[in-house]
Amino acid sequence: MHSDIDDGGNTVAGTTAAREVPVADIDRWRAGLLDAERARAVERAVRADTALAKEAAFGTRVAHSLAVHLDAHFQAHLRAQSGRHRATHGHALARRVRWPRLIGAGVATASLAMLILTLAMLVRPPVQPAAPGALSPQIADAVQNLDFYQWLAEHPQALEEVRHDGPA
Amino acid sequence: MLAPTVILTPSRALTSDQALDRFCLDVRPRALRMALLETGGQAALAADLVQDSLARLVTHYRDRPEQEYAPLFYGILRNRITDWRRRARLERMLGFFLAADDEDDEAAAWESIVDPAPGPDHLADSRRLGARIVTALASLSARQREAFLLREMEGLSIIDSARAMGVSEGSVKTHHQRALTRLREALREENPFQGDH
Repeated sequence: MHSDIDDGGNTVAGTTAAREVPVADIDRWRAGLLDAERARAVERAVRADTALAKEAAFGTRVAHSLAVHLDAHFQAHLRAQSGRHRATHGHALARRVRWPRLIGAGVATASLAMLILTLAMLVRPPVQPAAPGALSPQIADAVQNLDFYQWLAEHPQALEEVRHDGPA
Repeated sequence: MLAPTVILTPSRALTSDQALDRFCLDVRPRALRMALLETGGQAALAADLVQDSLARLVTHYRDRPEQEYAPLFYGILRNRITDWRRRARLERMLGFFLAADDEDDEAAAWESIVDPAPGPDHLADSRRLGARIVTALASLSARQREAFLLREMEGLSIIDSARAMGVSEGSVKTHHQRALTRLREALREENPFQGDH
């Protein structure tokens, strides 16, 4: 028994009777992704063929080997690391400050801020004088009626007559 | 005062406290393996995470039905591991400005688990295989690895795995299938689980 490649490029396993079950379908069956009819067909094929059954047990055997491997290492590493863990646990906050890096980061941040501020000031457009049309209403009225206000200044009695008699 | 819930088994009746104690004893060694993988081989940290998760299960979920213990516990463990990862990431960022006194002496925990120790040939082969599996698992995404470990190593159902992972059942199936496919590809060279080996 061996693994072959079928016409669709899928790896299939097992004897002739099981060649219609690609390995990919076995994984889908294990994961629960096949529809009910296809799942029953794969399950029948797995039960009937030892090679397919071995493929179907791939995940379980990987998990078992992993468990054995981890168990073999766990106690040894726990003994090795527990001393270091206890020694450092009470001193978790006692860490040296890397002053050169901290100062360097501060200088870099301040320089970047200065650069951005300088660029912002350089590219800001210059302040323009106010356009002639931007005068206040009072000044605009005075300029527009300058002749009248000059005549009124020369004839103050006209202003007195308006005060006593009221506006015409 | 409420009477304790009685769970009947063919041989004897267990109170819920006894069932919870039995579950904690059964799950601890398996959970240690998962935590060891997820923490990159830091055994003491893995033990702390598992113990903390068990304590939370006993404290907050003592009154739940027995069939909910497994998904609840693995969900708690997953959250503890996620919290640890976030703290570790923050500490790595701060580590640029801070230095531990003994950092030069610490060995990479993953390397100590992956590197096979010298020994008899048959044990060396077993260790090499285990190291290859650990490396292959590390190449999976976190969700794929989690789905594979819960479904294959812990034997949880799709529903319980979905609850423990906080995802839909369809996501569990997809992650599981992709994990199996990628593990087959990663372990193809040694071909330890395929063909007639």
